[in-house]
Amino acid sequence: MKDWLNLDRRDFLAALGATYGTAACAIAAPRSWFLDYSTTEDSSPRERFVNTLCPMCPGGCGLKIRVVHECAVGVRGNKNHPINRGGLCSRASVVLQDLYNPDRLHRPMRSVGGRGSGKWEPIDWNTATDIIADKLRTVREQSPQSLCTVLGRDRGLTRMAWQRFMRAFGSPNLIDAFPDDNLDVHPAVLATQGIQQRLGYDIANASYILSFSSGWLDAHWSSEQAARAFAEFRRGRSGFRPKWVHIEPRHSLTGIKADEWLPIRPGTEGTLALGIAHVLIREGLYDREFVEQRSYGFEDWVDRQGVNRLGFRRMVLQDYAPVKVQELTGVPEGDIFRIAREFSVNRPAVALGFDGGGCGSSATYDRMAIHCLNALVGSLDVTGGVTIFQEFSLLDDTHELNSVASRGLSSPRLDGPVDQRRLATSAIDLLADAIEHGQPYSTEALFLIDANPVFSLAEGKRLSAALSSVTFVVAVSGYHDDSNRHADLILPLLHGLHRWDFNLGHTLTGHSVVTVSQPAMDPPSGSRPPYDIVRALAGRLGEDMVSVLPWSTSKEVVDTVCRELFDASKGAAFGPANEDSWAQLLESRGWRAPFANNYEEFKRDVLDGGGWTDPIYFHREWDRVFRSPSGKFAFSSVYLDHSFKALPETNEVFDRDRRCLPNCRTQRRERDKTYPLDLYVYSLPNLVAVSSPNLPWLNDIAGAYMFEKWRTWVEIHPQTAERLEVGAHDSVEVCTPQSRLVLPVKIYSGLMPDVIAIPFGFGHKSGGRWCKGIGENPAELVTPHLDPLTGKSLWTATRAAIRKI
Amino acid sequence: MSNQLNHRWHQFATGVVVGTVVLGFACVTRVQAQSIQVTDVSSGDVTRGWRIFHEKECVDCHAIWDQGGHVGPDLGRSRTGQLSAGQLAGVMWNHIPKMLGQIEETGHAPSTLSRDEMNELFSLIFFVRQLDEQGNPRRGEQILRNKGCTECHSVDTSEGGVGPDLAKWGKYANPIVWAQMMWEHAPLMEEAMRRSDMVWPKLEGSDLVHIVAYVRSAGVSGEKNYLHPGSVANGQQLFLDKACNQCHPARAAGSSGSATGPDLSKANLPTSVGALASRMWNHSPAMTKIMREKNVERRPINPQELADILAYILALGHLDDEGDALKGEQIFAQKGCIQCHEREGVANAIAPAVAQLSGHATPVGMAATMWNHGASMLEQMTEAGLSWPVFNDKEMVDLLAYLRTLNSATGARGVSSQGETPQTGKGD
Repeated sequence: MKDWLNLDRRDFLAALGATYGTAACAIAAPRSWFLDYSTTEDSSPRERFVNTLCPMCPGGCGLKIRVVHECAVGVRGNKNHPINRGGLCSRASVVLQDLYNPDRLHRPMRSVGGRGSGKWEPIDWNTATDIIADKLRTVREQSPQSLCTVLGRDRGLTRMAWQRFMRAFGSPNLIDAFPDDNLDVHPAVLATQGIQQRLGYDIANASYILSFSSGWLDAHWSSEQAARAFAEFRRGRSGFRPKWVHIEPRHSLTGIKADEWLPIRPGTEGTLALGIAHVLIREGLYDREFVEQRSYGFEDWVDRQGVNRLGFRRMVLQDYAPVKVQELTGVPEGDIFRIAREFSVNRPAVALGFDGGGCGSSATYDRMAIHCLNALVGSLDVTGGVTIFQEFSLLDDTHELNSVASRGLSSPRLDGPVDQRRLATSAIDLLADAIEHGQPYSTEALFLIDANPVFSLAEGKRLSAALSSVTFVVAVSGYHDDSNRHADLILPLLHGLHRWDFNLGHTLTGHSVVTVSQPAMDPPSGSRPPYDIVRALAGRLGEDMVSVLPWSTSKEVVDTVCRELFDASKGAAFGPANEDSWAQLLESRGWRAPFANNYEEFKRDVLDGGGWTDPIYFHREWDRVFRSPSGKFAFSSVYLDHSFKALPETNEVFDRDRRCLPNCRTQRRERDKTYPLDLYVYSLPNLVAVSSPNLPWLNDIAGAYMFEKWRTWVEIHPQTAERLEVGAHDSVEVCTPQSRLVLPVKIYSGLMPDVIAIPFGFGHKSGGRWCKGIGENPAELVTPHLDPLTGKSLWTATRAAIRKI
Repeated sequence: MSNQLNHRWHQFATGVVVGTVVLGFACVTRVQAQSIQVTDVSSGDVTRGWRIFHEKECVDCHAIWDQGGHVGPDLGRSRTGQLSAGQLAGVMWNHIPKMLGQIEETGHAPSTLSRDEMNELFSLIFFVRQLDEQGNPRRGEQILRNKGCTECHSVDTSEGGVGPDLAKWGKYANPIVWAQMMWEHAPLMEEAMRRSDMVWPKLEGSDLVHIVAYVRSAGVSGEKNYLHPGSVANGQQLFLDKACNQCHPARAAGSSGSATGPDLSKANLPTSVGALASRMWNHSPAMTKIMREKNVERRPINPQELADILAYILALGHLDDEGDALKGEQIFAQKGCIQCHEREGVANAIAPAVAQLSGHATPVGMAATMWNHGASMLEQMTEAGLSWPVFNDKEMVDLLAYLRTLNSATGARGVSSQGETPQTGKGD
């Protein structure tokens, strides 16, 4: 201290001079050198709004992102977007939590310490690309078909890029992780109508809705749109209240909003539909004109070999009398008669069996039976009925294949022989078996693109083990998850708000919608859009590969999309509802007067508005709606008949017939003393997207209506609980032939007795801080049982037992 | 003598010059009085008109083909027959008190409309009134059978066979495309029907629209073929290029002098596109015959060209007859206009001088002015104890003709080119 104060005169004067000098400079200096609190135009916050695509699910909603100082700070719905019209679902509301999530991956990672160890080291992009390209080069030289890509829910640029890549590479193994979401093929529609298009239900204009275990209101592929349609259904018509009857083993979030809930035994929905069909036919309540003019196989028929074949009418009248259906389904006979009559009288009536709801797939025959109800009341392709989405393709790949690609593409697919998936082009449930047995050939390299099948499949554990036998696994993911844990490399998936992209979607009323994604803010340094990853790999593999991806950036791809939309000479950029009305008014009469006068104006409008839509839907274009061999709705599927011809003939001709008809359960399951309960697994809609479990707000509300969160529980009917002497605060062991889980009990009267329900969504073994180790995954309990027509796992066929701990 | 001659010559020359000037002036005045062309009354952009219709909240009271409010009439559906631009301006004028009352009730502030915006709205209204009702497939099927069309044409390849299967035409939603195809094939069809001893079927009203609806309901998909709303200007030129004027005189297009067909500006033509296309079909044999006699070449017309030509023909119906300026002057006095609008500008007049109105003496100009100043006019007239004048039928046309003569006659100038804000004596 003394030394510190030991100043001589020279030091004192120097310090004094420096102090005065600094003060003088401070006074003389402009204020802005220090702090800028001014409100001049130049320094005001740079605020802008970007209309873009919601990246949280494949529904294709439009977001309006508020960007301040080049940071996304707010989100609201795009009011002009024809799918969500300004609305936001719970997932879209937390898009910024996903964007700024501290657990997001931003750099390529290489597994160290062996695959599955969970240990990673960051590497640069060039190193990662070199490693992958070297491996792919070898694979392509030896057996290009041994490359497999499992693709997530993307319905835009990423899908297009990987489709082109795999085709040029010579591999037929582009497999959908979520076939129902992405394949555009509903097997029942393929069997009955011969088309590979998605369906929409014109709920807003329906007079009667009969939904079979369909979570169309809370787990719909376009939940915001479904909610809006429901609102219109409820309040859209004065002096008339449409009715909605919901049939499901559990009183779900969807069922709660219905006028009536009818509990049913899991897996018997198709049987009930045929019981209703029985009443419609027996009482002559069906649409005779439609059935006579537009359907095939309703009556008995004679095939080309002159053999008499069983028709739908006779099968239904013989096998599905309401009294028998009551015994099988648990739905009272009186209710079956009443519902059939209501369904017939209140037209347009629509039967929903496909959208959302329980996990896994329902049996294709069940789906066919439900869809037949729509045909019986003439609700196909009419206002208030079922709409068939118009075909609309962009960026078609017309490149000629070279010899390598042709040879590889001629190989059978990994996901099972055709006779295991007659009505599905992709069956991921069969993949584990193929990898495990190396049949029809070994899998040398596998890409996981924003997909987590180890978590989402019934046999996830088996796939997890199978992945270890694949020579090389690469994942493109936003977070660590149960599947990419088994990868050699993880490439970070750039968030949707950082990139150019597009999404092909539809409204429920069948209108085509293309939503354009544009960066709301600059991507993190060193990141790469998914398209750039594919293109960089293609570039390393040779000219023939990169030529199928001619656009150097994803922005160029979007430019081409805009150009193709402009050249299509129909539809318009998103605008106020009145602009859709204008297009509808004109196009329905054969006129067209677009708001944009040239391509530049059109592109500007598309980017400013957030996308493009064709607001016209032409009903009753039968050659588009029915592409079955008969050109009609097939109650008896000739498509399936041809498919089964390869099988050896049986002596029972009706067995062969029934394979082509909606052939639902006619025998009650035998009592199982070991596993006396039916297991019903339902999805928590907020957690179905790959990234969702990493978002704490979604975890918070996932089970809000059951007053549960951050854990998995088992729901038990009060009668069942009493019989098993289980209380509300107990934990029980749920046992199935497949596995067992310990879960807390929720006593819930919204269940059928002897059915237990478990939500699906928690239970990740790997992931971020808000995901890993939270709850249990009920998929582990599901007994493998495959649909013979699609090869998909049926989750409703599992029996279970409960043991009190 | 020579001075006298010179003087007389000077007088003569002066007289000639003055006479020439007066004659020229009169001609100019006359030309100005007739200067409204068919392209003037339908020159707006219908798409912009639609936007304005919504932005200015017209849609809150008026619907267009069921889309919009129901306080006022549906501007697409109201079928009051052919409506000229002047009559439309007259209808708007007459309804000003009621419209303003309705606007006040709804709590909306009346929006202003520039002359360009009013022009777009006029074009929109004319266009939507030309649209047809959606056809009825069942009626279409009956018409096809009753007219004998199915003897040659099938719709689902189950019968007929001489003519093409109509189902493949299902992608043509616009009746004009059908009319064009029928026009192109008419000579062949006439020949085939003559050989089969068949009578040329006559279509009535919206028959063609019902037939189109039926064929489309046959269920054939595919990319649809759309037409752009016809351009009156293009149509006028095509009317000449395709030699339509060799048979049909049309007021604004001129004729070859040996016209044998009806004057399309005076003919009682249908008001909708579909009905006009049906009329064209009906007259096809007669037209073919006359064209052969006159050795007029049957020039190919593509669907968009036909849309333009029909737009021109329909626009002729929106063109007013030449107004009678003398009658207009009487109307100006009888209706009490003169009580507010002085002949000469007066500094403290409550309304602009009549000469200043001449700049607005078109239907669109009058409608815009009336719309923007209607509220204050009504208020001032109510204060002055005057009733709102009502113009029936041609009175507005005559009045406009009278106002157009004033501009040059009085030498009044100074009306803004936009013209939507005439100067009143109060200096607004």
